Amino acid sequence: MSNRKKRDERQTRAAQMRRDRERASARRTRLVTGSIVAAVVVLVVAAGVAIFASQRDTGQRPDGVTSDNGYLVTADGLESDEASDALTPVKVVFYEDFQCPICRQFESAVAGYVDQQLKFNAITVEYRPIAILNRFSTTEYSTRSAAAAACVFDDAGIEAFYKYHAQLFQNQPEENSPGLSDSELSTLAEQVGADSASSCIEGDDYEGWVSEATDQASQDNVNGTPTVLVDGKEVTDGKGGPPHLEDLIDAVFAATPSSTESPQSPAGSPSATSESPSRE
Amino acid sequence: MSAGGTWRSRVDAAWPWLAIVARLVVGGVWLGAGAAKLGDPDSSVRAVRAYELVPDPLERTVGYALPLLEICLGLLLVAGLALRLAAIASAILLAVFIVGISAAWARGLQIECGCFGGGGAASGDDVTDAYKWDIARDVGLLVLSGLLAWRPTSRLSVDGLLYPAPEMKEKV
Repeated sequence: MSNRKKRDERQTRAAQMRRDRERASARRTRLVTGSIVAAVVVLVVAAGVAIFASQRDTGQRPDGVTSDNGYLVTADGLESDEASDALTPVKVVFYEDFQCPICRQFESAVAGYVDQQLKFNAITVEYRPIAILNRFSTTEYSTRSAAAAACVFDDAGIEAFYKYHAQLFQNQPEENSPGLSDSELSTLAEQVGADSASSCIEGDDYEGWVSEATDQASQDNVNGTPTVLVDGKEVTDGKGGPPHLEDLIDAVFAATPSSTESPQSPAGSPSATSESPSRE
Repeated sequence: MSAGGTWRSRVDAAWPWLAIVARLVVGGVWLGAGAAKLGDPDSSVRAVRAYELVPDPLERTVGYALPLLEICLGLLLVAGLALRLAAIASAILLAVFIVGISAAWARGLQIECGCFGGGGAASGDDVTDAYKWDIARDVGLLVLSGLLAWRPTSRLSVDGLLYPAPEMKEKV
């Protein structure tokens, strides 16, 4: 009877001690686990901050770009002798990425029309190059090419930029390739008259600014290229994709003040592309 | 009855090993997704922005923090450290992504998910297809995360080293 009671007591005490031990060991385990987790998090965050800091280079702006980080091409800037003073030019804006194949298709469809309208002073075009397709290049070609265009503009002005812009699309690299090297970009720059752009191109002088311009565009809801604005309004193919040539012509025509003569139709009326481009 | 019982006990016995596979799959995806964004945080910020769900002042923070969070989760899951906690966090984050993608789809936004870098506008008929696949993948990962949170006992895990499984301790 009393023996049994003692045995019970002993068992309870033993059980209690076991529970205490287990609780203590569980607490220790939690502490150890918690410390390791905290260490992992701290290490990852520290490494991340270091990586981000190394990428962050806020850069100088090229002189003469617009407040929206664009290059404004006008009949004046191209020293056109076909410009009509009677026209109030319609403001056209192109957001483009030099690595974007759809932009190249778009450019090849509209370049003839745009060039003619520009020289007639029927439109002005503000090119806003952005770099959103670096992942399709092994050398961040989107950023490098846009920065090179800034170097050309800085060195030789708007007409050189305008030609360089066309050259970059004509020489667009394949996706997932290294693309043009800095020295090839410099050679191309010399061909459009920017003879001393190479140190700027090879020194990555404007890459920080290109990142800022890209970020600004994203904040302005530009999520893809090409994005086309006519008179401040986005123009599409009606299905959310980039416009075809005729969409652009219609939009420009609609935005042309009625008091002035309508824009000239393009010589040889280039046939609009029938394939339906999708956005990159 | 006994057949069901043995089947069940077999699954029970195999689970600590199956859990390794689940950890590696879910953790591996997190590591891949995080690493892909880490190299281009600006693009991660743009991807976040394209969803139009996060208030402007927070877009940058979320865009930068997301890859770090993903890498932390991936490391914890692959190592099997604080497995239940990591699995719950993983399930929550996946649920958030599923809601985000569904919301983009429902509102007719034409964007890439930006799950593994990239993001921003997309177009064409394959956008809806892409949404479907993204959601299917995330649901699959969510199920695995849920299983790991429910039964966070796994072989070859740091948790196992620190804290031997109860049935093993009873035998000692």
